[in-house]
Amino acid sequence: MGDGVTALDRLSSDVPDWLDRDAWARIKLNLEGPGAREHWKHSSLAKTLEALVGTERSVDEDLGELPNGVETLRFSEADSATLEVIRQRLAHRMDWSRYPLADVVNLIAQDGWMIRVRRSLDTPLIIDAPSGINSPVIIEIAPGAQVELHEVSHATGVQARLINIVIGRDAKLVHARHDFVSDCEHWQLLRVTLDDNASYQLHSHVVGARLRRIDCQILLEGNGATAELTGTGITNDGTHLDQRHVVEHIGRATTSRNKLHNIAKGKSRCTFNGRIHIHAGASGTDADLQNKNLALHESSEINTKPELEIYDDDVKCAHGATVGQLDEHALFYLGSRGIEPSLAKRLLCIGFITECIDGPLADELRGELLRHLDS
Amino acid sequence: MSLLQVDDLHVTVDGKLILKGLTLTIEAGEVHAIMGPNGSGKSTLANVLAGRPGFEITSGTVNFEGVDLTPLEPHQRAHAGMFLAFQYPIEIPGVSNMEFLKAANDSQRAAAGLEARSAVEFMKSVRTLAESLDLNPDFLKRGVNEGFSGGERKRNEILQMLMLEPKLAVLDETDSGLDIDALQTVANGINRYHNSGNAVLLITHYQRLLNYVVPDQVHVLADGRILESGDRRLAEKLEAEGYAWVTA
Repeated sequence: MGDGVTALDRLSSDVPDWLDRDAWARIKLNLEGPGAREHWKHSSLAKTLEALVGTERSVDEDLGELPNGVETLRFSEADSATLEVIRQRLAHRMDWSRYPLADVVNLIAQDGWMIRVRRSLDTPLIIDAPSGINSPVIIEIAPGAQVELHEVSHATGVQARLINIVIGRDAKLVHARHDFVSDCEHWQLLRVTLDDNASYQLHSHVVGARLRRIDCQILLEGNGATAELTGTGITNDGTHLDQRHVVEHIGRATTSRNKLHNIAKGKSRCTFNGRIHIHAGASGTDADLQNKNLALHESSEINTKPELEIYDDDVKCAHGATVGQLDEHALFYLGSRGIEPSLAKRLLCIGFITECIDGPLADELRGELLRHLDS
Repeated sequence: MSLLQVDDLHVTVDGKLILKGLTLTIEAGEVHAIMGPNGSGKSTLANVLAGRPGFEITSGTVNFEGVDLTPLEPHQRAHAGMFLAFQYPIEIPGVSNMEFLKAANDSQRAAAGLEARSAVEFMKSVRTLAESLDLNPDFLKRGVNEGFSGGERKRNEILQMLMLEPKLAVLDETDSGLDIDALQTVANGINRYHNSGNAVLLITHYQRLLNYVVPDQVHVLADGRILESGDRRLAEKLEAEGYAWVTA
């Protein structure tokens, strides 16, 4: 980490009012700590840090036209009470040692957005993330609201995003996100906290990039909260994709489903780490995590590691991870119907990712993923 | 020239000799049935005709309309007119049945120098075929064989046969696991497919399918060879007396 930490010299030492005063002090500690080494085993933290500190905050940020029922506020314009709320939101159950770059992004951005969704929305809330270091975003979904969020990005170069979502009691958020640009270095942290009986669905579809690392932490705090995470990843020759999902079951009778299919092509690296953490007192938890990977080339590298940490007895928990090649029986079946091997392989790949394509934008996403599959 | 001419075929699977000199001739317009005890090599014959990897021909010949079938890949055999209805049709999640059928049809038409059928026309004809086999057309939207019952999978195989119109249909225990109604539906599909220009090779354990699809010849395959051949009365005798008198 030596070079990366040296790069911190280029970082502003001004800690904005909405951030903990000790943010600056803990950065170096966390970047060099054992957590960073463990959680960045398959991506270079030093290179990512170097890329981030060499990048300006995004200048073309614009939340655009937002649906009725949505209010926005710049962190820099918040009153003291709201500043306290922001600080609490950002620090809530935050493991800074696991996500050491969060402080870096906050310090570069210097400002952020609070987006408050007061009621159910008739149209999707759209976040179109620009290039550069994006301002951190807190999205609050009011109790009982039903909301659809589309998070898209066409940014090239370096990009970093911090999105912190809080879903109120009985509210439901369907979140479709995709990153289809390979010409970039991208790091993102998505944190979602759910209150009682709140529901969250994530449909995440991404391709590898020069460097792409996506961290996702789900906090099922409320009793009866549910989260369904579904996604696909495709790495083409020369690209890198590292996704990490942490699901924390904290409330009683919470449910999580996590299903991710990846395809690695050419000389590429595709990593998934999924962790289910069931806290003491989270009785009635029902958790399932499934990660399947296809390696289409000898030099395709796949790393997958499902992890369970359980501190309650009254739980149902299952996990599985597979790494393999295309099923020879299926290839023969398709061949026996006259389908040429190249088309048969393509069909099986399509089927493999289609299993995980659902929700808003499904048709568009399928088309886009097929384009990357064929490239 | 025979449609299929198999001579003195020897086949190993994982180094074990399974077929030990099998000879069989099938002419266009004929229906043949192969019966035999478990482990006799019936499914091996079906798979080796379709070109499944792992089935090694160590000696003997297989000619299809006078052309050596053995160097051809599975898809090339299908283009030549060979069809295998699988004993255990596999699931392919995420690939819809309709998408699969269209890909198969397009591939075979392209190999024959024909243009692909329009999607609308194709879908309409497949739906009609599905209904004729008591398959709910909604099944066409689902993944290939995904969540299908055993009987539905077998009917789906017959649907593919009817859609692809091969020259030789090898049906590997297509009747197993079917109730009486489904058996009749499958048999009707086979009879609808069969004409003077093509042929059917039925591999079965039971005589009951042959009540509906009448074979021109019945063969007993045991220990890798055809030991007995006859007309449909041979199947009735096997049903009544078993295989002991043949294999003794």
